[in-house]
Amino acid sequence: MEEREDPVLHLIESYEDYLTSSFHELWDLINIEYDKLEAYSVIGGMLSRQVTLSIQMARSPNILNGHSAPLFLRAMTDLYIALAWIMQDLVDRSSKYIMHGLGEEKLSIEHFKQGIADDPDNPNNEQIEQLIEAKSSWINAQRRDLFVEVNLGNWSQLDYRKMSQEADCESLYKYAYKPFSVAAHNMWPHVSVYNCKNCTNPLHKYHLLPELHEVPLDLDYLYRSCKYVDKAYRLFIDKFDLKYQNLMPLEWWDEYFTDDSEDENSDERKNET
Amino acid sequence: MKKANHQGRVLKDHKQVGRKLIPPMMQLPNMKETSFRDNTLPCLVWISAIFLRESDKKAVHYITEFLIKCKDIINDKKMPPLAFLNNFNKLSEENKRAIVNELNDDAMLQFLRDNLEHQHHLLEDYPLAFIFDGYPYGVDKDDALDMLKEDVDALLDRYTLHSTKVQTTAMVSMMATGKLCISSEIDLPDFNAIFTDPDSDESKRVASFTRCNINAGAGFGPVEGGENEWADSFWKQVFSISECE
Repeated sequence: MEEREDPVLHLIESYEDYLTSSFHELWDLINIEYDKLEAYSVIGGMLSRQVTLSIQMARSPNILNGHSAPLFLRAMTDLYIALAWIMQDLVDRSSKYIMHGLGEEKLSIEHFKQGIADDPDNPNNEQIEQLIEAKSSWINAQRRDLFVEVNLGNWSQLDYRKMSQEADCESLYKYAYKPFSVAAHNMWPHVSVYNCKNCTNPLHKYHLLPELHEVPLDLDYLYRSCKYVDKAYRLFIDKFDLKYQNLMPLEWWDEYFTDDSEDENSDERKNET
Repeated sequence: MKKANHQGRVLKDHKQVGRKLIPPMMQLPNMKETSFRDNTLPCLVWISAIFLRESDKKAVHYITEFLIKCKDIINDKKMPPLAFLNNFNKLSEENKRAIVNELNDDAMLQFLRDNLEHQHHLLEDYPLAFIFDGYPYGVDKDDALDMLKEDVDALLDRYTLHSTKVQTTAMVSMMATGKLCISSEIDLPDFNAIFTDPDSDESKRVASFTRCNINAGAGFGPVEGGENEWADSFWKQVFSISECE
């Protein structure tokens, strides 16, 4: 019998290969409109981000647990909601997204400058000045910083719940984004379960003590990640009516695991005969 | 703009105030939060100890009779309900001496000593310490600690049968000593049901009635349980005499 490579390694490599090829195939189908270059840059970058997050999760199987995976998955659901909302009014909303980003960096620069002024003897100031220079160059390459507004509110002027409602993905907000946010924001429902244990002394009212819990790995987290890539792909396919020929991410996932079990069954039947 | 696709509001009975949704119970005026665990449990821990180690019949008899006798001995209408342990701290030394003297040859006193010596041994300023004055006793500290853990553990869930028996006995003793008066208009449940038929609906009525009245009687101010120095002292002491497990 042929010696099989490590199944986890095989999955990781296969999944990454698939995502890489499918991402390129999908993007190559996009017909970028000459007068909407920035808009396509935004959605392309976000698509890359979504796929990259999933690849990074796959490459790091030790994070496929309740401690860490929600951090990635929350980012992926956040991205999907934003992407879906942007797609509804591509030019205007991607412009808002960009402008907000420029404003954030402008504010960040001012904070760093103030930090230098407050602490002129800081040995890190030279590095910070280089950082300021880099950020400033990044801003000015897109828009002169004199004309960059700083928006202290949400970039969409809506909260994510309203964005999800407008983008017809409120269930994703309720049942994925919000629950994953609990972990991402280190809220009590997460911390009390994942980072505490009960003291069993009744005289201590069974209070909670900090604990470093080891939690089992669960491939389901990678499956969810695959699902959010799938959803992002569908946004593009539906928006631009793309003739995408490759397997969708969830189809790939189903086929990968179905094929493996069929191969095992086939081997068993051969051994019996 | 696409119509919002949520199906309807959840928590419809909650009132929105700013960004908060307030549940109906919290909308009632003059709401006061009490903590059975933090404030009342330390005051009923002596009754819990007795119920854990004696039959229900003996426990009810001796506890109730003891409190009635205390009331008769002290003979002061302003005396707070002694079902709550903290209230023994409000008695004068003269009152305490009178109680011990009157009950000196009574089996009741020995009964209390036998069942509470572990608490007295472990806890400083134990409100019932006066019944041990001049009384030689011996108890192993580790055994005493285990017993105290049992006393407390049994009360931490106030919905259990044991907790209900403790609270019911406290409440009935308040009625028997004139500390809790209930209008004849009120349809009282049969308190015996807790002991005779604990799974019955009547027993559930008793339990519910008792918890409400213990809250009301023990929740408002230091006179009748509620916030009191003994409760704070109790939890401070028990936290330090044992380790986290």
